[in-house]
Amino acid sequence: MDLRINGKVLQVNDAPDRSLLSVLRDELDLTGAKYGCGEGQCGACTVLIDGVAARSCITPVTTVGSRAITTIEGLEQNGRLHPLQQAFLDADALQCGYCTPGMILSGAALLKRNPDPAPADIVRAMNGNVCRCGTYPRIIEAVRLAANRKQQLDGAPRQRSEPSNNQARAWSDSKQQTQEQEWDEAPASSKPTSEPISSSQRKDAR
Amino acid sequence: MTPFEPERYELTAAPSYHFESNRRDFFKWLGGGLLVVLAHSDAQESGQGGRRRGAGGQRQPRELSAWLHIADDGRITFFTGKVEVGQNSRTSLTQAVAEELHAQPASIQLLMADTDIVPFDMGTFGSLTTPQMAPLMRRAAATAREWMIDLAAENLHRDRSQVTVEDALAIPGLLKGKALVRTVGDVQPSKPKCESIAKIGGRDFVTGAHKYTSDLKRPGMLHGKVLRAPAYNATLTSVTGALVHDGQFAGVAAEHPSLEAVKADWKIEPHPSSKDLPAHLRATAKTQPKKPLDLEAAPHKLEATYDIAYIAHIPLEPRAAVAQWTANKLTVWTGTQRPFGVRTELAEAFQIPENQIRVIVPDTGSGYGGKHTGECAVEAARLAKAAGKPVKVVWTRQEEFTWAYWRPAGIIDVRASLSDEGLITAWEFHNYLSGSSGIACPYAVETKQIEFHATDSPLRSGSYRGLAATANNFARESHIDDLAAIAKMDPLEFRLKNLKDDRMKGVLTAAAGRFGWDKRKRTSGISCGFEKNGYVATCAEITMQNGRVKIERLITAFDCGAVVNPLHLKNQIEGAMVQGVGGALFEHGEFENGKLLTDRLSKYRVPRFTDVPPVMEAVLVDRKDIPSAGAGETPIIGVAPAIGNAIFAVTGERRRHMPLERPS
Repeated sequence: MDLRINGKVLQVNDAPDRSLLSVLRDELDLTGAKYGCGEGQCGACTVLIDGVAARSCITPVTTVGSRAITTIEGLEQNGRLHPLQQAFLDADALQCGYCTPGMILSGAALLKRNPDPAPADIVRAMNGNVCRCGTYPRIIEAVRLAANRKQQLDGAPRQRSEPSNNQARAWSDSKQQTQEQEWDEAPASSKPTSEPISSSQRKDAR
Repeated sequence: MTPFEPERYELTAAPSYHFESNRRDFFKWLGGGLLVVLAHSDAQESGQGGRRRGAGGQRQPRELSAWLHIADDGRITFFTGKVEVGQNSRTSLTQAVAEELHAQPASIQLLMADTDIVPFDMGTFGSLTTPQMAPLMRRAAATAREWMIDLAAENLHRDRSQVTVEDALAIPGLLKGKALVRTVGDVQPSKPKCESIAKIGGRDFVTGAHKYTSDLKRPGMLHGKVLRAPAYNATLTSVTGALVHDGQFAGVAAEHPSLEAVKADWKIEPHPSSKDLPAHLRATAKTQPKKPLDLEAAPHKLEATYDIAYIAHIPLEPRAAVAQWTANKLTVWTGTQRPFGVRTELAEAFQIPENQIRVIVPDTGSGYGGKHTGECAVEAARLAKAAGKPVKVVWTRQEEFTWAYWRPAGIIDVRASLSDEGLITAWEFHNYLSGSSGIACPYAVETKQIEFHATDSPLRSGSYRGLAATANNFARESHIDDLAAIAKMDPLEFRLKNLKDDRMKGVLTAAAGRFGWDKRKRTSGISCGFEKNGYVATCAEITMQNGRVKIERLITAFDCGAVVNPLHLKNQIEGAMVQGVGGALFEHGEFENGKLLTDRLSKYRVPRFTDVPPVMEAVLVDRKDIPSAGAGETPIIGVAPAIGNAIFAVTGERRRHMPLERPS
């Protein structure tokens, strides 16, 4: 069977009983999606399916069909990080980094359907992703940082102030270069959606 | 400068030192250059030694291990047995070396946790990387720096006072292809610069490029599955269909392994249930309290028992290992906090010498004290040996919950008395099972009786971030809060009155100041504590709805001596607060009839975005005059008592169980 992954069509073995996560990791060596719980509870395995965050550990590979899959490996474009990847670095929004790919993809899906999420929106949308190191406040800051940079690029009036946390110093060093970046869309993201992550991911999964 | 008088050994000349094996032939591997090594005796002094099993008091040859190499082209590499599990030791240690060498962190490579290459290390635990490893690294780097200056002065025919290490590093071919060795000199390391630099290698984590153990592949590799017992206290009596059956171990290895064809019989013995835990701990105590303190004459006294649940580490990357046997060597990649300890476990399991085993630890998906052991490495190696191919074993989350070890539960009995003046006059404290970390009473009390009592533990238990300091601080600071109420004093004022330690008072004052304690809402609590040379104070403000706690504000002030990297220190403190909220409010392991009831994330609640207090802040008390202590653990210990004390302030009800919202 064929899968559309990160803008390419890849052939994989027919495997009715296998999860998308297992195929990505073991067959295609796309190991950015992680195993964390095997029951869709932690979000470490998050990928985008047609731009919507989905839990690949509970998504049978046979249910994906021709929909476009984006993994963390597909976010970087021509050596340039996705703005949310850059924001995670700038806000120091990781410790061990194991949850990070899933967090970034969940955040990217959120920003796609809501370019200016309030912290409460971020909390609601990303509550299915666990960071056991507890960097949640920084992840919220990173999503806000990416949103603010996007607004600045668009010349839109800033609706929310620059995050006020204690990472200002680290951010300021990298802001210059990041502002020159474009707001890249993940190549597979096509259909914006306003569905909440949790319900859409469950539909994908079953 | 005499301390740095050249003491050079060409490696071709027979040194008076013994290199443990040809793996120490660094120059063959790294090319020529300058190598700073540490003699074994120095390592012991610095707390990094202590292996040398079977030394039996005999005089061993002094051994050298390499710590820092500067190549002919200026590349700087240094070596440590510490592991990176998200605490950012890779960054902080690189900073230490960069500061001593006046080099850019980006020009330095840190090689971590490869037992064939790096010096022996006991393991990454006990918050020891910053207080022990960083100064050693600094000494090695300072030795190299002074030596480079010597060489540059010679090369430029100038007095060494006119030459800097930057000059030295800029001279092409300064080392002239030589291979030079020097031992770490008796140099005074300089103080940390206190500088925020970004996580080293951070890019690989946000792109998914970093390969954790569980991501590794070897040619021909199979995946392994291990047969697990259906209950605690179960013994395997017979098994068929397994690739390996050896004692209690049975497993399979295949491209897509399945245990379906493995048929096993088990003999199951009774196992205590978590609801009977307090009675079980008391009944199995290996020591009994000495004669209790006589509190009869005291005007005020308070006796209470505190109940602590088992909690799980849940490193998001579960235990994982890839094992590969070649003719004379077993190589295992695994996520562990003790690479050399795992090497010993493998040597014992397979009865082969340690020098035939190489353990490599890729930067790992966290540990929190939960990855000190090598069971997964042994399992992968056992299956790989039988399969004749490399084998990867990754534990499922259920395996991790059920068969990894837990932070121990515990029972803590506290008795205390108080004078009419609001001074604590006697303090008696008995901890059953959960441990003795942080058990000391930091308050100025004349009569103290503090004891730890080991007991049977129904669940396998071991280290955890802060270990028992969390339990002991919870019991102590809850009790102190009650005593303040009995004395009709403000909880902060009561603590300050009964403390003599200025650093403890300092963090209390810092946390209270930032929190606005003097104009606080009535729904606030405070606590303080000391552990692993760090002082911490936490203030919590909560609201309660239908008996459920919502944390509105959480402020922690932390004094760990001189701050190394404020950005990463704050990140650690925030992370400890978030993790602390889980243990404080809702995390608990439950088991019944030998089965773990909380064996997956859908049954064991961990802190999520919604659990993060809207206002959360780490206040750094930077004591530049005091050597840096480790910071990954201690900030977790103040969270539970601060929240418990806030609940008391709201309701007048004292909850003496952790988690505070544990269903009864």
